[in-house]
Amino acid sequence: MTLHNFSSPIIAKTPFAKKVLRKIDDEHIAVRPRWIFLLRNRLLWAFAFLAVLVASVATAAMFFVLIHMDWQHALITHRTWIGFLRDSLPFMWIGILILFSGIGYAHIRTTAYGYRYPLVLSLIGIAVAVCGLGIIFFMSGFGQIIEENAHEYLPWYESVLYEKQSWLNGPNEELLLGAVTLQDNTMDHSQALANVTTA
Amino acid sequence: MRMNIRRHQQEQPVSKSDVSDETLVVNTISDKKQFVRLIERYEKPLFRYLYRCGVATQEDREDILQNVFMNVYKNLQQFDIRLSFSSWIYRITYNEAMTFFRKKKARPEIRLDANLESWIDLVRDETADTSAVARERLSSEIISQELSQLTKSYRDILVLRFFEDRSYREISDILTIPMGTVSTTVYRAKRALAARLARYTFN
Repeated sequence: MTLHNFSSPIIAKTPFAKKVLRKIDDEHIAVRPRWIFLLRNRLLWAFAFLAVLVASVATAAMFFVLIHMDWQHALITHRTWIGFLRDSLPFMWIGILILFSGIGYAHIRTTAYGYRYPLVLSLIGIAVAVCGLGIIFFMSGFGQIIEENAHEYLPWYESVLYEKQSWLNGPNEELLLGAVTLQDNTMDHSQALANVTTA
Repeated sequence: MRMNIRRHQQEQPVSKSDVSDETLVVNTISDKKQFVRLIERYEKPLFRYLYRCGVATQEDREDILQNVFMNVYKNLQQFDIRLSFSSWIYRITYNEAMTFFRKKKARPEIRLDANLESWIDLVRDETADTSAVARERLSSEIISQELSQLTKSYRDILVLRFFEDRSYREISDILTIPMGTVSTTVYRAKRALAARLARYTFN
């Protein structure tokens, strides 16, 4: 490495400069290698990406639940919309989505120049990434796999999709859960209805 | 960074005052003694900055500054050419000062110095409300006292903007906040201070 040729030799003029140099010598302080800082920065970006990935998986599962929530029977199984939403919304996935989006943002913010991105722009960027990846995961069936596995392996988690069966099993509310075991396609439905009325 | 280092190596200034900070950083990495030039260049401005930040005693300022230069030396390779060295070293100083206040559980004691006049002019130019401040020539004690009463974010930003004469970009790099936040906070801080000082001008 070429050094600059200064007009005078390097001698600390102020007592403070001498003190600092002496301390650097006494404590054997060395310049940290650059790879440490580069690695740290890349790890921060990698963690941010991982957090966004987890948030996207949660989004895929959330989309799956939202689409299969039986919106058309909301006021049959529940008296109010609030009650229906309280029982049906996938709060766990929503929580994971918010938590990991926040973690992703925090990691981006602590990268070397992360502070330069305005908050709104960062949040919009993360939201677009999470939703985009979430839709891709959902379309590829990953949302269903996650939801079913969570129901099976997480002891505290009960999928709304299984729970909603119990809502339909209420004879007192004129709801009767059943399964179609035989379907007669040859039968004319108007004829069948007429038979029921005459009987 | 490697490319930038090469670029700096090609420059061959002869006088030490002509050498850029960035070149000195590159030289210090290979020759520890070159660090003296950086220390001597920033010693006084950073002492002054710590004083303006509210570090009351000379000993405390010296201790903080010693830690600052040790950290600067240790982390020289972290310095990125996209940032000005001045902003980088001010950021380290600011962080050290904040750590000092946290450890001591002390509140900064803001004291103003000779730059008061130019600072008042700047505030007056940017907010009409404070023209009275300049007219009345409020004492530095009153302004210091009212400045100390502002929230930390307002105080920090006013000190950098009006005492250290830093641009919005530099303040953003020193305090690690977006530039939009800097301009908004400067505006709000000036209004908050103007509102506090208005009491004295009416009296």
